[in-house]
Amino acid sequence: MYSKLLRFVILLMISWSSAAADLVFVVNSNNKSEFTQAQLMQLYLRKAESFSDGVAANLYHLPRNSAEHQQFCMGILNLTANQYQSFWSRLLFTGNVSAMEHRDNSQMLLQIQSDKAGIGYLPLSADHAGVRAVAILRDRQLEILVP
Amino acid sequence: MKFVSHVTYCLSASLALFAAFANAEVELHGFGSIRVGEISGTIENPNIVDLYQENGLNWRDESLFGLQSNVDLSEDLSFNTQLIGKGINDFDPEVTLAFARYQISPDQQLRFGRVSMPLFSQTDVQYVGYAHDYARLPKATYWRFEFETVDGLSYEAKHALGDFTARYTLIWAEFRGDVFKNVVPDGVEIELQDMRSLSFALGYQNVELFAGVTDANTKGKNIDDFVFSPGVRFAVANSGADLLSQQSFFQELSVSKDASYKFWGSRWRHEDWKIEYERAIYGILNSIDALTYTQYFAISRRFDDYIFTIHREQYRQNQASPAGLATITNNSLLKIAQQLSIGINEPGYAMNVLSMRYDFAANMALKADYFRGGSYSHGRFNGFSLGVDFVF
Repeated sequence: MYSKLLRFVILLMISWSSAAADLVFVVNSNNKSEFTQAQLMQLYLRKAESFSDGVAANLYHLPRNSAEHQQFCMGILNLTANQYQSFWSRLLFTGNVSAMEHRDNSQMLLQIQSDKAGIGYLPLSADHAGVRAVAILRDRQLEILVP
Repeated sequence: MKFVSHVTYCLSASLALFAAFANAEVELHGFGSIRVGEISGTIENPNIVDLYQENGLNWRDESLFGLQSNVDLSEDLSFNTQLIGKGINDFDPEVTLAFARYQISPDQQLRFGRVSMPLFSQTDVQYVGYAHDYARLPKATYWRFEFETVDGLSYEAKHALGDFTARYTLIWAEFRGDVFKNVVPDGVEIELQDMRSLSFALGYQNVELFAGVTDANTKGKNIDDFVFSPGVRFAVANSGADLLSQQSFFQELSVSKDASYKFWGSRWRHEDWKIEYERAIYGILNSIDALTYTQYFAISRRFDDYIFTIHREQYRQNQASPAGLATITNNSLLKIAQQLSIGINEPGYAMNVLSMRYDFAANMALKADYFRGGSYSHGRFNGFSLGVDFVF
């Protein structure tokens, strides 16, 4: 019985780890700005508003209840998705931002392709053609991609 | 600056009309808190820390609803309004924010109208319970002043350089309204003119340092009339002091003087932990108002969707040393001034608070706290609250 339980737990852990996919951060292909981990964090926490070229960034997120969004929150910001929502409401109700914008994978790709100031993230395995990949989040480690 | 209040409302009306005709996109959001709590102590209803003024369970004092609209008039110009109905005011809606925002550049903006005054580090979100982890922000500091929102002009800028970030706000504004509503049913009118405020926050990785200072000229004739009641005037007239000393008494203790608010502190985050400290000193200078000293120290630990915070907060006013008393040399007048000071200034309290936040649903957090402390004037007390904070 214990071996069955152990197998169940192992399967559960495998399925859990597979739910947390690697993420790729993407910007418009015309965006030539340089990126660092600190800068990504500052943008998503609204401590900085613009890319290194001075253009104001438009932030996009995957759906709030998706595993990828939760992974993004924890991996980049060290916040749970709920905490990030709480943080965002702090900005919202002081009139500093609009509501958080969520897109699914395909909408995200189209959005970043068309928005020169857009930045978002996608599962690494998802299609991200026609946009510029700037960083990969893998096991809570961020790897900045050099253009 | 008196014109600013009128301009605010004219601006609100004209921009709202403009938005209606221009078919501008209107974004509506709301927030609220429904909270029940109780305080009890060594005397019945200790009536301290500005909490739960009535005996027994209280559903009203900390419950509130807010509605905010954001209208983008152009890429650089938007207009925000916020209404809050507080249970303690029978949910009568009041305009807490109404400003036009002009984005000078991505990192700089101007606001004109009714704006938030950063008296303390988190003044601007103290009513949005969902936006912070406390059941209520430490009461010693976040006393909830009527002049938390003022009418005027605000400039805000941000800078980022490597791991460093900086944000600062400059405000020039005025306030005209009623204070002491918890003492006098209709409050007492006060004007704060020529309010000038500078606040900033510096961040480096997980550490943030913040500070701010606000100065204002207080026009408090009605408060003076309230403080110098006919009984006080009678006592002064019969003190045996000469007429010049009597006039000087009222001038020295008058609250129509410069007011000053200062705060500073820091917060530090590391993985699931957060530590926060804030200290503030404020008051009307050289008057019967003794300077108020407040501080709190908080440690939080996150367990997934639960956050537990324990904090200690302190509030202190030295009744014996309002600066206005220093220049009164007549002994009889000094005794009257000291009695006045005891009646007006709260000697202070300290309490320890354990609070819990649980994000049980999207945009909703259940919060509970238990507090226990002591007051110099009212002895020991304890209490609790339980409530739900939400945004939509």
